[in-house]
Amino acid sequence: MIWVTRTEREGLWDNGSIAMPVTRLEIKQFSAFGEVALDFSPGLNVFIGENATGKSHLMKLAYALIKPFEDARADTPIEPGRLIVKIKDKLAGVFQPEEGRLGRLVYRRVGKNTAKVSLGYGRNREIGFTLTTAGPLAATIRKASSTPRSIFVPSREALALYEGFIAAYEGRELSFDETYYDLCKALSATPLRGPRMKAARRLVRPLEGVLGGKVVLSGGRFYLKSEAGMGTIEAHLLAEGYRKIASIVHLISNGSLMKNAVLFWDEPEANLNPRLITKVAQTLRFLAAAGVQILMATHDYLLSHELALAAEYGTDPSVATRFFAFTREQQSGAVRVTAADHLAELSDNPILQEFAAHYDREQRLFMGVDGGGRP
Amino acid sequence: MTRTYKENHLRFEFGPQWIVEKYDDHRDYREKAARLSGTKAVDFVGVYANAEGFVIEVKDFRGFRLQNKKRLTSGELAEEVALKVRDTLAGLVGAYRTSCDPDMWQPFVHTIANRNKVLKVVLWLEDDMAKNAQEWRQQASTLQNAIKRQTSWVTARVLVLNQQMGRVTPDLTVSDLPGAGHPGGSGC
Repeated sequence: MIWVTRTEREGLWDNGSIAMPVTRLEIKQFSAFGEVALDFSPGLNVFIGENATGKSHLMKLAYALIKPFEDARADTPIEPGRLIVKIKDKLAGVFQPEEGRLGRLVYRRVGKNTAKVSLGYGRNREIGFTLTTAGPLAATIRKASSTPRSIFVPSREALALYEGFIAAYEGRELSFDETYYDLCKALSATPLRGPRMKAARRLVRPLEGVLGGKVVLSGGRFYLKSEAGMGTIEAHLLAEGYRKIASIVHLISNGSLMKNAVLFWDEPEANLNPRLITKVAQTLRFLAAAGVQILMATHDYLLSHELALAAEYGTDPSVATRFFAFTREQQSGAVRVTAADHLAELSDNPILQEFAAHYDREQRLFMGVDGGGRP
Repeated sequence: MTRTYKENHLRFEFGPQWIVEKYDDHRDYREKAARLSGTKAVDFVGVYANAEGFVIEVKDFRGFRLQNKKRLTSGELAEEVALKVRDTLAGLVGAYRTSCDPDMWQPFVHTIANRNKVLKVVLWLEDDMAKNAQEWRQQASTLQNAIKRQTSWVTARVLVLNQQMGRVTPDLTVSDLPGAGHPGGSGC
């Protein structure tokens, strides 16, 4: 069920920014990828694949291209020199290659290699780079100016480690990648006021219903203020799944996550029990219905199929959904990506493949091929 | 000696290592346990290689996709199979105790009552619900678990199979009879 109503979707829950979803990502010879091109839905984009198939890298890559320029002026092209410096810094920050050597991010093969990446967004805008194994990076732009606002929610929950994190990160005391730093900075923003706050309140109310209270930032710490009269509960005492939803609530409340923004969410299901996974699925559809473009990676059968059901039965036609399967080529080892509007259409669905493999293992055990214990 | 049976639109050929009976057609079931209203029975009971007891239920839903979709996905079929397993095991004990040919039922009862011997449940399911073999296996795995949840009081060894997925044992062959896959049968 989707909680948001049409009126709410069309409300004031935005900063007046123009819708500029990321539209296409082309990657050649970067990270685990040989040559792939992904056309994104403006709504929900679900990446599924085994470990080490580049899902997180692909999201970090897109994030590294748009995050540095979200405050750039919409009417002024980004100056190329600045573009190169910003992209270099962001790639180094989110990928953390050894000694900051970006050449290590180029797809590895015998001899030198060159990576080429291009991200389309908005109307025919494009931002990208080429990168050689030796390291030099050249930026490419077409009509590139300001980029959509974005938030990256990594697989490890950040609310509990928030206290003191920003200062510690800036003091180079932590080895977390920059997505954690960016998220903590976004969480630290002051709450919205005025009409935008009212619109945000309408959107977070259903999520607060899931949490059973309001999310409060006080004295550098997050708390859940219980609606059941249980007082305030420190965020780090909450179940991790609740902390993830609480982060989303706070990001909406302070305007960091808004209409026309891009949310990258890596493994929302990590450390969640199945009941909370259905809540997270609702949250994702709710955000997409409210105008947030979502790129997310998951290994989870239940989460991917919850999202698939909504797409198959058209329970919320306003949420355009697209599924992407990441698989490794047998011969080259490079990752390829196939896409479909319905999960069932994906011929390379690694989650279903694992289910099928599970069936095969059970069949072998049943037939006594792999031995077996007592009845 | 190979024993051949026809069930729905399928031919079952049990090789010489099998002791097998078409249980739901047997008069020791029809004239005894079945008289108790609501009692159910699987299609075959068997003992393989003197070591493993089998209860085998056969469903051929081909051509009846829509009629049986809810039955497959709602848990109704899983419960039906589990109830048949329960009633069959009880019926076998009853048949052994009251049949005029108790020796015929002895291998079955001795196998199912022996905790050192394996008891296996097979749902032989021919259907046209899945788009491909991978999807069929995923659905079969889910159905297996649903059955298992209800048979684990006696055994957790449950397998859902069809002709494409392989054989229960090397000594059982299942093949289509003419007309298989087309509406016209019972679809049950």
